[in-house]
Order: sequence, then structure tokens, then C-alpha cells
Amino acid sequence: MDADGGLLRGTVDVLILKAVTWGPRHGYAIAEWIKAVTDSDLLVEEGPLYTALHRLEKRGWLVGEWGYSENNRRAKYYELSRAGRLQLRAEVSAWERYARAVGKALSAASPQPA
Amino acid sequence: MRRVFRIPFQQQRIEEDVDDELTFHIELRVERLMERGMPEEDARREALRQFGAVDVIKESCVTLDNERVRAMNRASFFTNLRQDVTYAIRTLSKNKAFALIVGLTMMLGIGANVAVFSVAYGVLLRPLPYRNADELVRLWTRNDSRQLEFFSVSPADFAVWRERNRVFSAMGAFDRQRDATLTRGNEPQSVSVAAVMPDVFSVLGTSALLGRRITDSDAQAVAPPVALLAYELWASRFGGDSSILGSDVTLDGRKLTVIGVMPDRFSVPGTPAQIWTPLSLVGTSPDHSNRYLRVLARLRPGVELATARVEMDKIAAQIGVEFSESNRDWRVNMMSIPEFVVGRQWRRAVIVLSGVVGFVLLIACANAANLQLARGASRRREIAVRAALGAGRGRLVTQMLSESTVLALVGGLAGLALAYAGVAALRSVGAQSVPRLDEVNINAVVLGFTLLVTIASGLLFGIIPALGASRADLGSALKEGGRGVDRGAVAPRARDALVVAQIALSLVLLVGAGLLMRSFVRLQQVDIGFDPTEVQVANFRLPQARYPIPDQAGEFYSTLLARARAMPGVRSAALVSSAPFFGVNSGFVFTVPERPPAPGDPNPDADSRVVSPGYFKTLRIGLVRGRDFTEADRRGADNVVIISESARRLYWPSEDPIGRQIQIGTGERATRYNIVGMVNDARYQSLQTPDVRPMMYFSALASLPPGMSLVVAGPSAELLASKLRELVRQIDPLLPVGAIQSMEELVTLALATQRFALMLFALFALTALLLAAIGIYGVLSYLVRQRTHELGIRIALGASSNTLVASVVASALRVALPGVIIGIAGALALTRLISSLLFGVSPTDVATFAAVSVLLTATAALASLIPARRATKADPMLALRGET
Repeated sequence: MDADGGLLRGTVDVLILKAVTWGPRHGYAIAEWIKAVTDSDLLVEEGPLYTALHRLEKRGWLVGEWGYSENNRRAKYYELSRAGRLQLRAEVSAWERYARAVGKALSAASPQPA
Repeated sequence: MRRVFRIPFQQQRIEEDVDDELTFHIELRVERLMERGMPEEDARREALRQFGAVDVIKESCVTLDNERVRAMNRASFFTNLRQDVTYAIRTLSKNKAFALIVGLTMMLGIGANVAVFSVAYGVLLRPLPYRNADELVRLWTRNDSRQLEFFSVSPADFAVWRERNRVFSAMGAFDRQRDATLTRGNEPQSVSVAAVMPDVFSVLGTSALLGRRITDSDAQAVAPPVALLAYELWASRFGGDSSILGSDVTLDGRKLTVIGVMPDRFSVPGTPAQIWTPLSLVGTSPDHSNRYLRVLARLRPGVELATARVEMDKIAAQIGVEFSESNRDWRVNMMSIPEFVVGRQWRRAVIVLSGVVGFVLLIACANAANLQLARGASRRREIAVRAALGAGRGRLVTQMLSESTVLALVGGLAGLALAYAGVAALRSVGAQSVPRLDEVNINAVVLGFTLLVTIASGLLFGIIPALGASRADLGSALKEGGRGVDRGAVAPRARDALVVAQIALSLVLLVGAGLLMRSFVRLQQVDIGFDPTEVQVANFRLPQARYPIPDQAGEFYSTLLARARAMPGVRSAALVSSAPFFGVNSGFVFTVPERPPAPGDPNPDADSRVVSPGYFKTLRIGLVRGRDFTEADRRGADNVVIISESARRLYWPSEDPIGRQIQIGTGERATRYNIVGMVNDARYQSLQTPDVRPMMYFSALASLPPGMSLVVAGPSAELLASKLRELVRQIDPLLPVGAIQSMEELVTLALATQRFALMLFALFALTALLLAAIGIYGVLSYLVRQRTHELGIRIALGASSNTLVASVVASALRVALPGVIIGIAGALALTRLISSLLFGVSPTDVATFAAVSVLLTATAALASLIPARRATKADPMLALRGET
């Protein structure tokens, strides 16, 4: 992941929130999901993902809890909190607005505004 | 997923968790890579590469977690607190009677403390309006062989002190204040003026509020005359108008330019002057015995008062050698300004008073704790249920403490209101006897103190019940169902101990109050030697500028006297240079011609007053031998003197003094006076000294000091006040008349310190007694309720009600007596602290101790009567069934 660029960081945040909408997941699983859905384009290094996870936990959007993974190893699972769910909803609709607007602009046919 | 309960609350725990989390990720990645056939070493390298800078990531995660945990702890603390307080308020509002009693108890305790603290703060602790006031000292000369402890300083001595000492960074001197007539427009006003060296202001280090202070150039002989005003005069006389700067005021006929106003509360310590004028020591008398200056100095940083004392005594000894005539036996005395301003006796009194109210608060806390304990017993079931539901012991204790703190806060708030009223009352009672009392008020510092005391006492009276209740055996509490006997080990013993402590503390206070009351009665029985009833006193000072010749002043006074005597309702009127308990004392040294003192022996000395004929009759001071002054005892006639009984006892112990002589002065300036009369001793200064100073009276017709007091006796003396003003206006419209006071008031004022101390002490001691009585009552009521079962059986078996009452009263006395004994021991140790406030009573006065012990024991017995009567009404059937 690029170190600078608020857009990318915000993007990772929203992807993390999305990743846990189907239930608690640990960091590795979240990383794998993001890689899978973005064809490894966004997540260059996995480390910063953890910074993001802890940051989101601090903001109260994620709730971290220790549990045991499938192969019986102690792992930290992240779950979406109520506040996190609301945040995700807000970010998704913001993204859609943004994408629509940019999309409209890029597909414009005339140089003058209508 | 199986969950693990684990709350990361420690730094180490957080780091371990982050480590575990990251390791889990990397290990999992390694495994996956190896599953795809990568050798372990390569897999590990690849996993770390994909991950990035582990250390950096770890550190930022730990930081984030720490912040999160801190915020969480904070939040949960406040959540718990809010829950506890809400719960406390709900519980208390369900027990209004209990809350009311504890609240009232705390109100008394906290109110007393806040009122006295505001006095202590205003009088003792509030900073004086000087730069580093702790470095400031006042200096005097002292002469032990003449019993002069705080005597003025001659300009010659001052110059040597200033030149030779290495302990003071600056020194300044000023004159005793004098009364002067301030005229502005047509209204004369009597004000107090002191001539002050410019150095005094730099010693004190206080800047002027307006304009400037007096500087060296003002003190030069050719400088234009200037005046510096005190805030209070500026505010009252000039309406706080800053245009006063640079304008002129007339002082005893002399025009002065106002150069500045000093800030509020500022005064030059040692003079109550309202106006300061420059003083220069240039050209003053080189005579070392010409002692009239008052001296202030500032210690060099780091120099102790004791060091300065040693150094100054060394210098005084040098002067004593160089000028042995005037300075032999003269040493230096000094006192720090904070001590000087408050005075030793008041410092002690305020400290004692703070201790007294501290006791009252302790008693109040003991009471509140006792009530809590009694209630705790009936709440055991509720507590047991909460504990069973998982409330930890810490949480239970916090819950109980919140309750007591809420109660204390309610009491504290009411106490603050009480203190507010109390301070107003204190000010009106003590304003004339307590220094700086007018500066006392409820301010931010006092409010802070209130909050502190309130919370501290809430915790104090909550902690024993809280610990006791939380330790209670849950199982038995639940089984008993909250009914029956309190078998918690802590409660009964703790309750008894609290009552013992209450009784002991109250006894100490009551003994103190008793001792003060006895000394007060003794003081009032002191023979003052004159009759103050129906006597009024008015002060006059004729300005030199308008009465330059003594005859003019004489004429004024004789007109005044004649008209005063002619007023209806006046029995008699006279003049005196300084009336009893009013104005300053004056004295002199003399010799008895037949018995000149041996070389090296001190001359005899006496206090002196200048009086007009009829003075003794006016004050009803008995003439024992000889005659009063007459109109013939005037200048030019024979010099005559009238002596007091104690002067005779001291100087003519075995002979008739009438016809003998005293000599004042030596050599050519010697004057002899014939003793023509002897009068009874009258007290002029203090009621407390065992002996009256010897006094000699001189005739006002022979020599008239500039200031005199008119004393007027008559049945309607109070009505005279207004008439007297009118009368003076007729004789001299420009002469200010100060306050006209009744002699009885002046005598009462002389007892003001004692009265003030007694009143407060008695008030607090009675509060303590009341609280202790409530405490005893509370404990015994509870005891009786506990014993209902036993008492019922005894009634069933035919015990008479007298036997039952006696048994309850006896159990009260079993608690009271140890309290009384401990209290006596405490009082014996503590009452010497108030010995300076006592008069004619020993701090270990047996009668007082006995009376107070009996009083307390009787109170304990009385307080047990109501529960005892209830005991006799116990229903045997209920008691036997065990349903109480």
C-alpha cells in the first residue's frame, strides 16, 4: 500500500470494514480477501493493514477479540461494531456518489456544461 | 471460533498481544507458501517481504492500542461513577430520614469548619499586601531592667543600625501617627497621619495603585509638601476619584499635594495612618535617648530572624558601650511582620479554633459513620444480592463510598450556606477585637477548602461501614433474609469505638468551653476601679495651626466643659488626656527626692494622665486621702500631683504620701510636684494583668496636651452624643468630633477577645455535645432493637420495666465511661494550648473537669432513656416468635 495518499488509506479502511461484514475475521483472512477482490492491486504490503486494523479498533468501528483459528491457533478476530456498520454504509454511499460523478464527467460528450 | 476472555490492560499485555497477532499472520503465510512447495527458508523470507517493516508496524499498533485502552478505562471509570452516584441518589431518596440526619450532621461539621477556615485564611494565611512579606521585620528597642519590651528607636540609633548591620537589605523608619484635621471644602474630618521615610515603601515593596509613592526627593527640605493616601480614605472621602492626583488637600491648615493612592488592604505595619507624608532624618537630634521612631526592615534573602537578632544585639551592645549614658541595657527586639500583623495571641487562638472545629467535624463523621453502620446492617441482604450477582468487593466499596460522598456533598452545600451566615455573624461580633477580620469572606480558596473537606469527610465516614458491609458473610445474610441479629464482626465493636471517640472529643471541647467560661466570669468580676455606667467619652485634638498658644486651647476646653456641665441631664463632666480603655498609655520616670536611686538602679516610673478637676467624681474613682484638683491648680501655682493607691504601695509603702514630693527631670530642668491626693486604682489598659500599674495624675489647668478626651456622666448620657456635636460646632465649627462612645462599651470591648473566643468555643462545644448525644441515641436504639428478643423473654419472665430501663442505661454508661476517661486524658494534654486565653483559672481546673464529666455522663444516660423506654414496650409474643 502506498504510504501517502489519503485516498488509498481511506480505500483500505473501507475495504477492511467490508471484509468483516460477513462475520469476524482475523487479519490474515482480511488480507487474503482484499487481495482476492482487488487482484492484489491495492495491497502491496500486508503490514500496514494491521496499523489500519488497530486504528479502526481504536475508533470503535471494529471490535477485536481473541479466539482460536481453524487450526487451533490463538488469533485476533475483528468484528464490525454498530458504529462500524454505520460508517461502512456512509462510506459506500459516498463512494457510489463519487464514482457516479466521476463516471459522468469522464463520459461527457460536449465541452460545455449543459 | 471459540472465544477467550482476556482484557488487555497492561502495557506488557498489549505488546504481547500485538506480537502474537503479527506472528500468527506471518506463520500462516509461511505455511501457505510451504504448502505450495516453497522451502521453509525462502517461504519465511517471502512472508516477511510481503509483510513489510515488522518493527514499525508493531510499534504503531502498540501505540494505537495503548491510546484505545486508556480512553476505555477513562470511559468506564466515568460510567461506573455515574452509575454509583445515580444509584446512591436513588437509595438515599428512599431513606429520606436517614439522609436528612446525616446531611444535617455533616452540615454542622462542615459549616463550622468552613466558617473557621475562612477566618483562619483571612487572618493567618492570606498573603499580606507586601512583596515577600516573610522577609519583613519590625524592630524595637527593649530594656529589660525597665520592663520595656517594644520601645521606639531614636534616629541616632537607627542611623547606626542601618550603617553597621549586614542582615537587612533595606531599613526604613516612620513617626507615630498623629491625628490631624483634613479640610476639603467646608467639612473638617479627623484623620490619622504618619510621617514616613521614603525607604519604608521600598522596604515593603508595594506599588502605588494610582500615581506614585513617596520618593527621596519628596523628603528633602526644599521639596513641595506632598501626601500619599490610603485606599480606604481615598474611597470614602474622595469617592475613589482618580482626578485627586495632583490636587491639594489641607491638613491642619497646611496645603499638601496628593501624589498617589496606595492599593486596598495596604497599610504601613505599625501605624493605622490614612495619610502618609515624607519624613527625613536629616538634622534630627543626635541624642540616642530621644526614642520615637518605628522601624521596619527587610531581611537579606536567606538570613534567618534569629541570625538578625544576634547581629542586631551585637550592634546594640556596641552602642551601649559607645554611649553608655543613654544606651546601657538597651537591646533590640524584633518580630516578623506576618506575626506582628496578626499578633501572637490571635495566631494561637485561630489555630486552637481550627483544632476545635476539626474535632467537631470528626464527631460529625463518627456520627454519620455510626448511622451508616446501623443502616448497613439492615442493608446486608441487598448487598449480599449484589455481591451474588457478581459485584466485586471493590465495586461494592465504591458504591457505598459514593453514597457517603453524595451525603457529604449535600451536607457540604448546606454547610456552606451555614458558614456564609456564620462568617457574617463572626464579623459583626469580632470585628473590633480580631485583626484583619474585616478581610474575611467566602472566596475561591474557601470554596476549594470546602470541596476538599466535604469529599474527605464523605470518604472518612463511608470507609468503615463500606469495608464492614462488603466483608459480610454473603451466605448467612441471604439465608437470614435480612432479619435478625447482625453478626458481622466489625459493626458493633466499630460502633462502640465511634461513640467512645465522640464522647472523648466532646469532652475535650466542653472542658475548653468550661475553662473559657470560668475565666470570662472571673474577668467580669475584676474590679476596674471606676464606674462606667452613664459615662460617654469623646476625643478632641486641637490643631496646632489654629490653637498656637496653650491659653487658646485652655479657653476652648473650659468653654466646652462649662457648656457640657450646663447641659440638662449631665451629672458631671471632666477632661482626661487618655480615658480608660481608650487611646494610648503614657508614662514617665521620676525620683523621690528623699531617696535618690543608687547609681545603676533604675528610676521609679509610673503611668500618667492629665485630668481636669472633677475627673474622679465623673468616673467615681474614690478619693482615699487628700484632695482633688481645683481651679487653683493652674500654671504658675504650685506643681501638684495625685497618685494612685498602687503608686503609694510601690513607692511610699509605709508612710503617708500626702505632702511628699516627686521630682521629674534632673539638674536645672528638674521640676518637683507636691502630692496632694491619693485615689483608688483604676484600670486603664487591660483587665487581665494581675496588678494595676502605678498611676499619677497631673492638672490639666497646669499643662494641656494637644489631645484630650471629654468624659461626661449623666442619666441621659446617650442622648448627649448629638447634643455634644452641636455644642462643639457652636464653639469651633472647624473642629472635627470623632466617635462618641459609651464607657460601658469600651469596658465591654476590653473583654471582646475573651468573649469572642468563649462564644465560638461554647457554640462548637454544644454542637459537639448534641452530635454526641445523637450518636449515643443511635447506637442504643440499635442495641435495643437487637436485644428485643432477649428483652421480650425477660418481660415474659416477669422482669419489671425498671430493671429493663436500668439495663439499657447501664449499657449506655458502659460506652460513655471509657469515652469520658479518654476525654479527660486528652483534655489534660490539650487545654494548656488555650492557657493564654484563660484568666484566673488553671488549664487543669478540677471543678471544670468534674462538671463536664458529669454533664457528658448524664447526657449519655438521657440519650439512652428513649430506647430504654422502647425496650419496656417490647411485645413478648413477637419477640419469642422472633419476628421483630
